[in-house]
Formats: sequence, structure tokens, C-alpha cells
Amino acid sequence: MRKIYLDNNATTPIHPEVIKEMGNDLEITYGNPSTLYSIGKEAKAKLEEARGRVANIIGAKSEEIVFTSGGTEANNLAIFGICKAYRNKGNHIITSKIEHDSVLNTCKALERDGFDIAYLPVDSYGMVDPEELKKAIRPDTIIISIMHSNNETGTIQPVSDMARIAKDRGIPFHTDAVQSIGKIKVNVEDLGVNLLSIASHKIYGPKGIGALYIRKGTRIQPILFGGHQEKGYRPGTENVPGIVGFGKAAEIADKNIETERLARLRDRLYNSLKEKIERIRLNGHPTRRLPNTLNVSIEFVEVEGMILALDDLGISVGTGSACATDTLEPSHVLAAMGVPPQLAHSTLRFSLGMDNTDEDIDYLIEIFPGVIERLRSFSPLY
Amino acid sequence: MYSEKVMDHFRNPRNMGEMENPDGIGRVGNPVCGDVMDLYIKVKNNIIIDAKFQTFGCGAAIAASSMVTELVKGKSIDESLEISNKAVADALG
Ligand SMILES: Cc1ncc(COP(=O)(O)O)c(C=O)c1O
Repeated sequence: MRKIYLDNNATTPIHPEVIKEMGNDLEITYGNPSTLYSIGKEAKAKLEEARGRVANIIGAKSEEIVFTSGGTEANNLAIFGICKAYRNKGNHIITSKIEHDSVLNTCKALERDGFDIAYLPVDSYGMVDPEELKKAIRPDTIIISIMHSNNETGTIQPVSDMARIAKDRGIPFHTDAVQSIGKIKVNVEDLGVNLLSIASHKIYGPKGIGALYIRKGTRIQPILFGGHQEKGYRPGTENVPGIVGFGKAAEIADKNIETERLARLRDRLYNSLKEKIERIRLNGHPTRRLPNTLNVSIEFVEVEGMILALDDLGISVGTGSACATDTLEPSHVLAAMGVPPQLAHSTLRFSLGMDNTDEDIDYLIEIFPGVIERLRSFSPLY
Repeated sequence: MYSEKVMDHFRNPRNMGEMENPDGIGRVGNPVCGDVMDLYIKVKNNIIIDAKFQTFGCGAAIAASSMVTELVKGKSIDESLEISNKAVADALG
């Protein structure tokens, strides 16, 4: 059976060259980078080469990259770390309603510790309005964290406008760019952010590794304590094979950003489905959106049925948020955008990646309307 | 995650669809919560001689609806009222 993977926002397959590079590292450069003999120094050199590659993809300097165990830890380090460093200045945090759980739940944990959190609203496209940010800022605001693009809808936030507002008030600005890296050009100088989170497994690298960009001069405290690794910002013997794989993935992604090809495939998919299926609607911004992401609500059919039926046909698609799959709560992102709960239960996310071809899209366009017709025949609402 | 039996009832639901001239219709659930089930029955001499369903819900909801229609067919109204959640779950293995 044909296998088509269309859930690249959940995670990506590993690039074959990344596997090769990691295999080499596991076999040959297994040393501890903190040691003085040559096998350790080789590992250290590999680590620093990877740091340079990761820095490169966002236009940062090597020394501004701290490796973490992934996007979640990068977001935790950014927010907790700034709050620890700025505790004496205030206890107000600004974020948005549509952040990933690794930001939202970090803020909720701080809220329980006495911090005050402002959750900025979004419009019907899932976009934060910089004017709302201006209104929310207080003298005691110590960090602003707004994601670069949303994992469910792909909507891209006006981060540079918001970072400028933050800079004018002297407030550190963090952005979760986990979904943007490798899909669109992201440059920390153009954005003007202080902190930016990246995850390797969204750019064809291994899982369990990521990074936080910390602009030179940003005051931040660690949240883990131990050795001197990562200049003390992230102690513990480094995950060298993961870091090496991440570095290789970053190097490849930087050269191969496929914005136009993916957008063309995605738009062809949506336009054809719209012609063949009635009562289907797009969630997210029509143009300011990641090129690979298509989030649609298909009225009267429940999402799990669609996923299981497509899986039977060899096609993997997502609900938008992996967490919502367990809780069956409709997505907080769609709720913030004003999508009614009933429609949120009927929402599917296609996220394309490097392996997808025109033939994949043709196959999907051919079989998907039939799947929907069948599932709608089950539905008492149709 | 789902048993083979659940997947079978999801893939090939029994007694799926609307019924013409039913003797009884029941609706449970709420689209806001993501689950709605319509159950139709035909009754003769206090025995359910036919049952059909339509369900908006997850794979398990569709499978459970399908199984319920199988369980009630041929039973009296009183016997059908005795069918518990557990009985449906057990039947789906
Ligand atoms: C926007 C966003 N932030 C953070 C994360 C968490 O990253 P990780 O899975 O590497 O912890 C994800 C994906 O899971 C994400 O989509």
C-alpha cells in the first residue's frame, strides 16, 4: 500500500544524511566533550561544529546557542530563566492564548507561584494584534513570549513588530519558532528577539534535542544545576549524537527551504478538496501562514473517524495538536480563534514535508472525498 | 489503541443509516462535546425487530453504536433497557 506521511508539524522523518552523520558519531567520536584527550576533543569539535550550523540557520552567533532536550525545555528555560533573573523587577508575564502547551503550562506553573499572566487574544485568523500587546504591557512586565508560527494553523505572528515594542520598553522578548525553522527564513536580527526556541525533530533531525537562542547580553538564569556544560545554562554531559544530528539537519534545512514547492502542493490540495467537498473551511491566515500547513474543518464528520479511515488507506494526518488527541478537548487554538466547538471536533491538519510529491497530493485528492462521503453517511448531523 | 473488534465495527458498522417509519427514535449527546448518536428502532409485539443508528463521534462511539444495534435486535424492550455500558464494552472485547 502507498504510504503518505502528512503530519510533518507533529514530527518529521529523519534525513538519511543525518542518520549517517549520527551513526558515525556513535561509532567513532563517542568521547565526553569535557575531557582533555583526543577522543574527547574530537567530540568537543563536533559539538561546536553543530553549534555553528544551528546558529547559522537563524543568523545567530555560535555562542548564543544553548542546546536543550528539545523545544519544550527551550521554552521552559526561556520563561523560567528570565523570570528568575528578573524576579526583583516584577512579576507580570505576557503571552498569547494560542501558544504550545510547553509555553502555556510553564506560564500556568508560574501563575501558581504568584506571577500574573496576560494571555493575549487572537483574531479569527489566529493572529495577535501588536496593539493588544502595547495595551497589556505594565511597568512590572518582565517577559513577553509569543510564538513565531502556530503548530495547528500555521499562522505566522508579526513577531518583529512585537519585539520592537518590547525592546522600546526594555522587556526581553521570547519566541517559540519550533514550527517556523526549516519552513521559512527566520533571522534573529530581522526579528529583534532576545530568545528563540528550536526543535531538531521538526527539521528532519533526531528527537529529544533542541536549542534556545539567547541574545548576547540577555540576563537569564539556568533552571537545571550541575556541571559547567553549555556555560552552566544547561549542565549535564551533552547529547553529542543528538546534537551532531541536529547540526546536520540544520545545515541541510538551511540550504533546502522549500517554501514555494510546499505552498504549491498545499494550495492545490485545498483548492481541489474545496471543489469536491461541500462545507469545508480553512482555519488560519490565508496568506501569512507556513507554506506546508493546511488546517481544515469538514462539517458533520468527527476528526478521529477521518484519521482512522485515512490510516487504513496508508495516509497519516494530524488533528492539529497531539495533546488534544488524548484529552478529546477541542483545540485551545481554534477556540481562541472563535471556531465553534462542533467545528473544532471536525478539524484535520495536513502538514507537508520534504518527502511529499505531486503524486501524493493526486492520490489524496482522489480518495479523500469518498472517505468524507462515507463518514458523513454515518453522521446524524449531516 | 483500539481492539480489532472495535476497528471492525468502525470500518464496517452494522445497521448504519436512517430508518424509514421507525417506532422509536432516541438522540443522546451533544455536538459541542463531540458525540451525538441517533438510534432508531422498529418494535413488534414488544420485541425490537430492527435497529439502526447514525453517530457523530470518535471511532469508539461509532463502534459502540454499531454494537448496541446488534445487541438490542430480537430483545424485548425491557431486556434492552437492561443492557449496560459494560455489556457493550464487553461485547466489543
Ligand atoms: C510550537 C511548538 N512548540 C514546542 C514544541 C515542543 O517541542 P518538543 O517536542 O521538541 O519538546 C512543539 C512540538 O511538539 C511545537 O509545535
